[in-house]
Amino acid sequence: MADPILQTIDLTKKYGDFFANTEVSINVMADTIHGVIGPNGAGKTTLFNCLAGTVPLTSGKIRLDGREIGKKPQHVRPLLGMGRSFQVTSLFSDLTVLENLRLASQALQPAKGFVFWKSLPEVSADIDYAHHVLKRIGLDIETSTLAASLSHGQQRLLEVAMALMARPKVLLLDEPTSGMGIDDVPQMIKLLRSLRKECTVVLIEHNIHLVTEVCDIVTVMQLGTVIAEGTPAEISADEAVKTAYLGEDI
Amino acid sequence: MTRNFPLGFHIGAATVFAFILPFVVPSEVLATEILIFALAAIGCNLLLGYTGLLSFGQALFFGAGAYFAGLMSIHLPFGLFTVLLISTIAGAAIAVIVGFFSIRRAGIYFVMLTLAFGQLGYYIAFLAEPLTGGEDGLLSVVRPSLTIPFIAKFDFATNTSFYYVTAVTFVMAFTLLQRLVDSPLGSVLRAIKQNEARAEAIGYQVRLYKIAVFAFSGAVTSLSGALYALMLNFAPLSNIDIETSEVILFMCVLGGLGSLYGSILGAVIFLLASDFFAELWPRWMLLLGLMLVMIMLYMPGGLWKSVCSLFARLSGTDDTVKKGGANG
Ligand SMILES: Nc1ncnc2c1ncn2[C@@H]1O[C@H](COP(=O)(O)OP(=O)(O)OP(=O)(O)O)[C@@H](O)[C@H]1O
Ligand SMILES: [Mg+2]
Repeated sequence: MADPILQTIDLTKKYGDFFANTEVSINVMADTIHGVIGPNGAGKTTLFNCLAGTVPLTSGKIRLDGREIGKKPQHVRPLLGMGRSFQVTSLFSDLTVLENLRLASQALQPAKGFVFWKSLPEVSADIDYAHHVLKRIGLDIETSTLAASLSHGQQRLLEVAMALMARPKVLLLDEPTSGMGIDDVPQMIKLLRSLRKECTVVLIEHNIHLVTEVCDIVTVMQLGTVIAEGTPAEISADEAVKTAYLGEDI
Repeated sequence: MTRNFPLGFHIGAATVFAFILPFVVPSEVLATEILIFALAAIGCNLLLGYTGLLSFGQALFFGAGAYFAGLMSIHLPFGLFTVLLISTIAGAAIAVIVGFFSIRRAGIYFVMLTLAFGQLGYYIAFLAEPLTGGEDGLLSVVRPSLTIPFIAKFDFATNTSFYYVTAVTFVMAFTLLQRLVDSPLGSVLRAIKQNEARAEAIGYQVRLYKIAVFAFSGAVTSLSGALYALMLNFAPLSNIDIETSEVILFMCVLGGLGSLYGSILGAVIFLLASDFFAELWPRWMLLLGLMLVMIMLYMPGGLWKSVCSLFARLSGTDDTVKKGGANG
């Protein structure tokens, strides 16, 4: 079997005395869509925060494409191929849609950000790519619109688009449909399927329908640990998972 | 992304402004002072208006520039250009140190650290009396001359000639910094101001950018302090005190955050109003304070924004008109 593109080994994260993640070991295979599900507070977002370097690990290892990245600072991880979107939309609200995306692309060339003697060019590869990503993500809006004036659903799409601008090897999507209308879900399913051709996706999602539709493998977390892993069909038959979700709408 | 004006436009605008200014304000000295404080307000705007960093320690850079220029002019045989250049670089270096430590804390603690550094600078200047003149200030600062080898030697004893030195420096510094805010670096600073966490998450090392903007702010503020000492032929202790930080901050906010033209306007209005009220009434500070309160209350975006929207309304390209047109 091929090596996983993303691997965590006994990843543990403590906040004070509280274990938000306990010895989480998962293998994400290249070009798959890997779901991460679990009840509220299971530690899914914490796992992403560790993977993206937003918070430091307490212990454990993270391997991206064979390379240990667990101790790399947050700002270099996009350069190594790790892109992420946020559960709570986090945009540059008073900047335009185009500028939000362009900034995410410019960040891949760290030296470029320190150029102070040249005016920002009006045409650049970054801008071209931004238009490309907007088109493929199906966000059909004027690029000079301020991010703040987009609808909630559009902001969620822009959130994902920003993560895509980094041309990630592994894309971490934290509940991309949260707060979206039910009508927007099919569009997201289509987008996720089309992403499989260019990168590996790790997807946190509460919408079980969406998970069953698009995911190849699903990891189930509860109280900071992995309690089950398998195909969507296997997971929905799993007793431990049923107990974890008892009382919740699965 | 808004379209940037070409560099020539800014050079032209700054030059025209600097050329007209001495003819419309009451004195050349006041005109010189306006250009000097416009640069200081611009330095403050880089931090606050573009990056979201509120510094209460700008007087440290201003005062340092004044002392450096003063001391060099008294003790060293340097020409004008060298004196201004070294003051600028020294200001950047101090700002890098202040920035390096201050940005380790966020929010109110960051502000307090800049204030503390400012106070530290004040006490050092106060105690280093043999060097700085302490409470009396550094006296008998002389304006260095400018020598172009084999061609000419200029000195700047008159107010008029010194105004032109200031004006040329102003145009150059303004142009460079306007270029900076229109540059890729400027775009990252705006992103940091908007959402620091996301800027870091998409790959910008926010800490380095903040130190860089401190360096630029320190450099231009120190340059303005240097010009001020040369203008006064004197570097008073008050250059480095908290009130100077306040004045610089005030001009910056008054003019409007996020526009270098706003900072110029802020300096113009602040200094003209001070000058005007001072002749009206000995308790003029009261009037000035009142005016500032009114502007803050009724023009929260600063003077520059109000001027721009006034022009927009007059020429029919009002924001609301534009939006209505796009939607409808
Ligand atoms: N910065 C923090 N400091 C302290 N505790 C935290 C922090 N972040 C998360 N936690 C705790 O860690 C646990 C896991 O939180 P996390 O956000 O990872 O859950 P989640 O699985 O993403 O939940 P949800 O489905 O609601 O998004 C929660 O109990 C939360 O309170
Ligand atoms: Mg979460």
